[in-house]
Amino acid sequence: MAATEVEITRDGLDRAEMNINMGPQHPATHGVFRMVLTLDGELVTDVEPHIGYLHRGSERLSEDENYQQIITLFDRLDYIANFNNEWVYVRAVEKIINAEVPERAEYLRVILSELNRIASHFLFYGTYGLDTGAMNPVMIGFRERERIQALFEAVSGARMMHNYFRIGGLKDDVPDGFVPATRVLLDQLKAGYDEAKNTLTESEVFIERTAGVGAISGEQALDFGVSGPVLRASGIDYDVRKNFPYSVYPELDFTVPVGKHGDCYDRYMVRMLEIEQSLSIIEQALDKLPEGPIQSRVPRIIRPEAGDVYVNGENPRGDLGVYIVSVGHHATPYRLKIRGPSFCNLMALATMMRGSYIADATVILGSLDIVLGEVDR
Amino acid sequence: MAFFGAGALKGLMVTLGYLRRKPYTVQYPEEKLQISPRFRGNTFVWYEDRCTGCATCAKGCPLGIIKIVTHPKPNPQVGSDYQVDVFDIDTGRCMFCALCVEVCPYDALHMGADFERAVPARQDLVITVDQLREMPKKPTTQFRPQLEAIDYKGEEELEEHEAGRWSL
Amino acid sequence: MTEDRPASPDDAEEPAGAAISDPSDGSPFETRLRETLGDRISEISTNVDELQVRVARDQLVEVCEVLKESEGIDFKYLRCLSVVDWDDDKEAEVVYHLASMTHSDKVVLKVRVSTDDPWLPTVVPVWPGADWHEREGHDLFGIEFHGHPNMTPLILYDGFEGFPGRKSFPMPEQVTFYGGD
Repeated sequence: MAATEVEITRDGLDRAEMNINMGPQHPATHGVFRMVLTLDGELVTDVEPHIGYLHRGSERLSEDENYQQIITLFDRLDYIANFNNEWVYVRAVEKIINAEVPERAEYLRVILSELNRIASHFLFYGTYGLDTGAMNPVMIGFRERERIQALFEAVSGARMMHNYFRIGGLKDDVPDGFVPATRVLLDQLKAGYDEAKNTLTESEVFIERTAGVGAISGEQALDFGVSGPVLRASGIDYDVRKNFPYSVYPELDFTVPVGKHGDCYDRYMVRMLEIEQSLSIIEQALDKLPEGPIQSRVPRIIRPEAGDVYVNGENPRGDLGVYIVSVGHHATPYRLKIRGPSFCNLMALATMMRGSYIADATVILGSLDIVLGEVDR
Repeated sequence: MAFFGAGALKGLMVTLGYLRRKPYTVQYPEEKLQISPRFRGNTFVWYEDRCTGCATCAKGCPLGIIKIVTHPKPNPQVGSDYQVDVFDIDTGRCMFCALCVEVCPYDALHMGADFERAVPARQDLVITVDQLREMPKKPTTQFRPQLEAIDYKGEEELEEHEAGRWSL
Repeated sequence: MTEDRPASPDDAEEPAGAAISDPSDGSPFETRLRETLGDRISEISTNVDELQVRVARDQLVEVCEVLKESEGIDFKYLRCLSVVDWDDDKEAEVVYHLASMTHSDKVVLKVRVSTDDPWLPTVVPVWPGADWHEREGHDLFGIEFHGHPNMTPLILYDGFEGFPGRKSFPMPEQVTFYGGD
């Protein structure tokens, strides 16, 4: 029997580009973030991020509020790392009014901010586990973060929106028993960190999912203004705490973990190693914590001289900058610009995502660890 | 690594270890976590006799959600010369920054520690002066170091003369 | 900018030309910067711990390229790009905060434009990271960045009227109480 040749035409099967809308209400976008993916089959050819769904006009709002009240707005920017946000802002105001900060306050700020960094990285660890398809990490991550937040509650009265740092110091001294409680917490965190590490770091499933995915070179990342763990994962050793040292960080001994490949796995590893470093920083700071006042004398209503100042600090997500313009003798800033690290990191998203599979889209987005409160401001 | 899958197995061993552990979470309505004395809830504690109606709290509020109306007392006895008629705090828009508490020069306003205040309508979230009078006088020690100095844990009600930096 | 401009509050703080006539406090970095930029600087001053350089609009991109590529300067990192509106919205100032990772130096570039003709050349070709900052500046302050590859609304929705970052944009009155007052 002679085989009939069937001619298969490929008409109508032309490869057409397809647009897929992801978000704004999507669990894997970590907030109200929307990206329009252009797909060629399963490959992502282009991404267009859309932001602004959470725009609250923090910058404009702060032009109508006096310098102390603005601290509350900074709590709500990057709502995972509130202490770090407050710190950058109060440092900016301290610089413009040239205020001193007592040493004890500086050490307490370091301790609290580094704890907040650990909490933020644990949250990243948990949600990133979810993004890559692992259910277990989110339990560990949230549990450890919960422990830290319980300590924050004892210190500042709130788990997240602390409103605790003040211009020239802190609102109140930490409660009695803070140092022993923190030491106990550190031990718990170390145990939790080991668990977290054992669960994900060496897991082949996780490595296959993340290694080599969403890579970006150091030069490209720098061009986009990327900072924080994302930049360091690409091999550029830039940490504001080291490059432009502030507070008492020069007196503390720590290293900055730097990655090599700039892929998702390196970003994950940099954050995990940062937890180790932060634990060590807190231990040193607890040992060195001096007694003394926690608030220097600053005017009740702050009216800085005319001038402008840009201050940045290392947030868990990167380099948070605050630009304050004062026109002199006003209780409110004339202009306040916030440079959010997630905002700048997101710009590199398209470069990272082009050419990867659509299944990796959430993995790449998750590895940036964005917080939309700070992207949209 | 010894063999492919050893890392994943290591992770599974962590999970297995949880079989012999107690749960970390609590079942909320039945059990409650202990809150710290500084915890800011969404109620307020107001000592009327300490209050002069100066409305510093209203000015200190970043959102402007406190409204105070006063009139002079005909025959002042204790506290201020002004009677507070309206003291509305719109907790529907409140962000519990406690700046109103911090700026109060007479320690008349404190944060309360109650957090179970669900209401059916948004209007009910406004705390009026009558509600303020009736709220349990259990201030948190947030921004009130003098309460920490007497080792107050928020368990019993405090009188006016105990709550401030100076007594009436 | 050298042409007459309306008095703005920061004039009082840094009298024009004062810094140029006083090169004595020149740090090695400042000397390097002066050598590299030459006459492209219209004014240089020190603010707290940062050098502020005023440049003219037509020379902006050139200055940026020089700052990024020159040996010994290496401002590879655009930290921040902010727009400030001055003098009842008559002028806008665009501020570029630059940092160099290799030398741990920082510098501030300032360009002034009039709001009647609010355009600036884009610096996206120099630092791609300026992209969203410029789009935000366009959204909130109405500055046109000529040559920007994708000038679509970033933060505001399509069809939004006005520039909410400007001082002249009316802020909505405080929302009243939920109590209906």
